[in-house]
Amino acid sequence: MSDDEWNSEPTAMHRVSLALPSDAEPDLLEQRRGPGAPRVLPLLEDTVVIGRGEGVAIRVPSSSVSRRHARIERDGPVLSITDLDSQNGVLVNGTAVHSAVLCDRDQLQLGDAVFIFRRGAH
Amino acid sequence: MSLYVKFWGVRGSIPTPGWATQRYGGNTACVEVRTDDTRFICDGGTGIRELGAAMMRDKQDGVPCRAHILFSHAHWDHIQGFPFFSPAYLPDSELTVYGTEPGDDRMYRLLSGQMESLDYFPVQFSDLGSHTRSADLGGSAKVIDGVTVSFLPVCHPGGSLSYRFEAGGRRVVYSTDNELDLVLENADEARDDPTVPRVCPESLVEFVRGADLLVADGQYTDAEYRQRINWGHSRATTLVDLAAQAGVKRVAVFHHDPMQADADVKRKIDACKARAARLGVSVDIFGAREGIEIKLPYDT
Repeated sequence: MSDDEWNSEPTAMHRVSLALPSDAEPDLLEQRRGPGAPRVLPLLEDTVVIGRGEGVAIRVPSSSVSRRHARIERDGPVLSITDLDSQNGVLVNGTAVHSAVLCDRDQLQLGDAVFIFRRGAH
Repeated sequence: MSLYVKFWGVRGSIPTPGWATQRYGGNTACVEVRTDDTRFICDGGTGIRELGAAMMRDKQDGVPCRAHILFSHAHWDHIQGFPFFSPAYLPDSELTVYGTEPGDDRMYRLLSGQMESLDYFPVQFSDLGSHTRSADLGGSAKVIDGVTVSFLPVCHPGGSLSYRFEAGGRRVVYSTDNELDLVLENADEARDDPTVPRVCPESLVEFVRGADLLVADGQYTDAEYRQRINWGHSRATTLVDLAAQAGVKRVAVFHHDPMQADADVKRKIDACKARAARLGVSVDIFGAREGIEIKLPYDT
């Protein structure tokens, strides 16, 4: 992903929590493809579930996405993603995984939804 | 039930922390293979420190610190993390270090040997609090808590062992520090012409046949290998040929060269994918990366 590509798309900001510390830039998911894209999703909670079902923090209304598809968890400075036994699995940079520690600019694919993980400044 | 494979250290030779290796990681060899209730640890490179920390967290949730530890060999990058493996210091930890032949305690002695002198490390092996014992695989294979563990000697200076884990029809092979290119049936031809198919030794093909996941030494690019013949490690691209001949489903290219930055590892994997496409091989090949876990479900 080039910086030009990063800057070229219009985005809408969807906050999954209320308050941002004034001195921190949050970790983000940028949704690039799939229903809802493009949008930017700050990861402010310690646990965030992605799926198409009601009541998840990041909802993707797609038949290729399971109701509770994956969970992103924070453990100190480390964020990881875990597949919640979804139908179509979780791909990190194209590799199917059960779980993975996330790195800046990792591409996450859940069904037809594609996200880019961006590490914040803490 | 499931087999889980988690990468705690994927680097070869020497730890490589730093910005250039953040994505794949800089810890030396350590891979965890576990079922829902039994844990195996392949090698004790620096990645085992983080694994130990995770086991300590699990212990707070009531999970006992128990592990069966299998070493490919005792070169530094495969044992240097053990002195920093926190469970080794707990009196209620149960750690078993395996040899291969009946009565073989060589790996146990080599592991403990690195902690015999205070000149090298401030804690002696005999002062570790855990219950650490030596066991063996009975000369060929052993069933441990429902998982059949077998081994195969492979090509590396001083020797190295590959391990195979089988449960519920699933098969995982850990095969690091193996200069596969040196023992190809057509080694000379394959070295002179990288484009020709590489014929792998039958013993290794049979050992990895049908593996759901093969974690294997793919330290070098084709160009790097030309300068490092006899150093004990493989061209990553040769794993494509092995996977094709043995019907392997997924390959994790492992033991990345310490000189390879993240972008270099990615190019190395891209070269493997290009070779697979050129040879018409259907295999999922990826670069082993710290923190990734693969799940292989099976029926009991």
